Amino acid sequence: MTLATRTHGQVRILELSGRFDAHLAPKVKEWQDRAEASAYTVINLRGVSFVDSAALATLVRGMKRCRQQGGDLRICGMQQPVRIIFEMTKLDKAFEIFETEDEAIRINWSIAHIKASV
Amino acid sequence: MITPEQLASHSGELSALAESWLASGASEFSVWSAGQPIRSWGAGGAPGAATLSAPIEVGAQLIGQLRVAIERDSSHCQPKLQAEARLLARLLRQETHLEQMTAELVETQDQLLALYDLTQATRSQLGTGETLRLLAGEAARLVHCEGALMLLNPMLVQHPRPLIDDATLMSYFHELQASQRELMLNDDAGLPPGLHNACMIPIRVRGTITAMLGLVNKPGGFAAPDLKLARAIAEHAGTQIEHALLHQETLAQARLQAEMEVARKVQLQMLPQHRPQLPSLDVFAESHPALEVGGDFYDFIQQPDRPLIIILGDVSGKGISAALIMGMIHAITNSAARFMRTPEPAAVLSRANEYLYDDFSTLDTFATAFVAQYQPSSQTIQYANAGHAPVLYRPAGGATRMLEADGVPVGVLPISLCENHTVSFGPGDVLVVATDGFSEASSPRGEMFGYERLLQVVDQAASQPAQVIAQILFDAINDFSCGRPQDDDQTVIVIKGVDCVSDS
Repeated sequence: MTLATRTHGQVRILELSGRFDAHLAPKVKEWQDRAEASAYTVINLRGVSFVDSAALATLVRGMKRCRQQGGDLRICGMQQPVRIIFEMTKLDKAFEIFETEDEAIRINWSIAHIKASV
Repeated sequence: MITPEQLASHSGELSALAESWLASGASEFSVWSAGQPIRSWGAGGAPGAATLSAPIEVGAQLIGQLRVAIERDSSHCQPKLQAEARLLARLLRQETHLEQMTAELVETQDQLLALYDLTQATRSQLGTGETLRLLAGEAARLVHCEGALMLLNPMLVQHPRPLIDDATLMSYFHELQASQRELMLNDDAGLPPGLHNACMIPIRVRGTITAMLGLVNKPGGFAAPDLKLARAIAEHAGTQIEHALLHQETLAQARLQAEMEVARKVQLQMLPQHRPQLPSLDVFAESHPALEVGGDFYDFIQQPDRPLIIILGDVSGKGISAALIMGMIHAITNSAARFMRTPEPAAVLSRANEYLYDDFSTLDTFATAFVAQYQPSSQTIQYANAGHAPVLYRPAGGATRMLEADGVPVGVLPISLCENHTVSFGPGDVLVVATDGFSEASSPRGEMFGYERLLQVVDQAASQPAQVIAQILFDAINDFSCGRPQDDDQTVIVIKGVDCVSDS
């Protein structure tokens, strides 16, 4: 499991790979808590084959924090097994999910959390 | 050094020699030391008698002389006397060696005994502070020096009173840690006033220098035997400190273990103690936490003139934190189901979300939950699903399918998105509500059990009673994971519709 970070304008991007579970979750939390944290975050799960409930809790935590600051945490690049977990837990309703990192960065951030306000 | 007294003490041997010389014609036999006769036999020197003499030497030391006065031709007597002097010298040397060895043996035995006493004394001491005090006291007593100290950062004990100030001691300790060697301090090294000499011995605890034994002011300075003894005490101290630490750790662990056991009991107590009794339902539930306590829970609420309510939830994470949070959601859903005027499943979940959203946000957690209400009159089950999977429904004679969630888990969004859904539930219909400990059970190769296999197992087991279906499910995932310890809590409720025996 690895973490790669990059920045695109105001957007901070975290790319993960491997199993996103209770071992990796604290590292992601640490990244979320670090200084210069942006309210505009994209988590790229392109390389992630599995997420457990600790990972989901970490993503929910990040999403809440970003929204509190007027931004959002977007997810992109989900593989099929991960997508199924999001669908089964209905977390796909809570997050804004994109196919590619490029879309996640570019699509207008001002329409964030439409689904949340249903 | 061999003294003239030691020579004189061999009076038996000397008398025997004297008698032999006198018998063979000598007029006098005498033993001399430092120019003075110390013993003599015979009638005093006959005039003109020739005198023979032979030195008694041990190594380079001249102990004394044997002298013989004899009249007849004495040339052949000289080698005999010299041989006797050499034998005496050898006897004295052996005797001295023996005495030295005895003295060393006694000393070693004393030290061994003292160390044994120390071991006995420290064995009963459990606190690290007492152990240090005892070790310092014994070290000073055994090495015969003015004081001793034990430093186990940040604890410092000086016996019988502080002889060196803390800052100086800390600098010695750092020096010791850097050099990994003993530190010998003598008067000429610019010692603080009142300090004449000292030695600091490193103490290794679990392989690293974490403590120090100091010995202070030994009259005449610290000699090799003192250091040997000090090292032995330091080694013993290291073992003793390790024991004390281990004891503390074991104690803490035992306490934690006991508390976990209590937590486990409390949690088990939260789960329903009885299966709901309804003529038209066969219900069974079981929960296996991965650790002592877990984040899964289930609940049956059955009250007179109220529909049976079934709840199953899974708090994200596991272990003690999940268990505490599980207590919260368990209490909220239970009271909602019990006291709400119309405890419809979606309303129960909505109430739980309202109450728990803020707390769950603070705690960075969420919980998936499934709530169902059984209506015997209409033979239906109404349910709402907040992000929970897997829930499997098998109508009698039909195919098993998943009842998928439509709402997000409790604590994810400020509002719950759950809605009520209804399925028919008559004789032969089966509902299996499990936690992801089933679907995500993994094989030794890392493959997950998955929903497909679960659907198949339920299909095949559906004709069995509820308890047997649950057992088949547990067996299936145990076989799949080949007995590996489970990664996650595993909880299942099985509900099966049965033919009502008509009222008699």
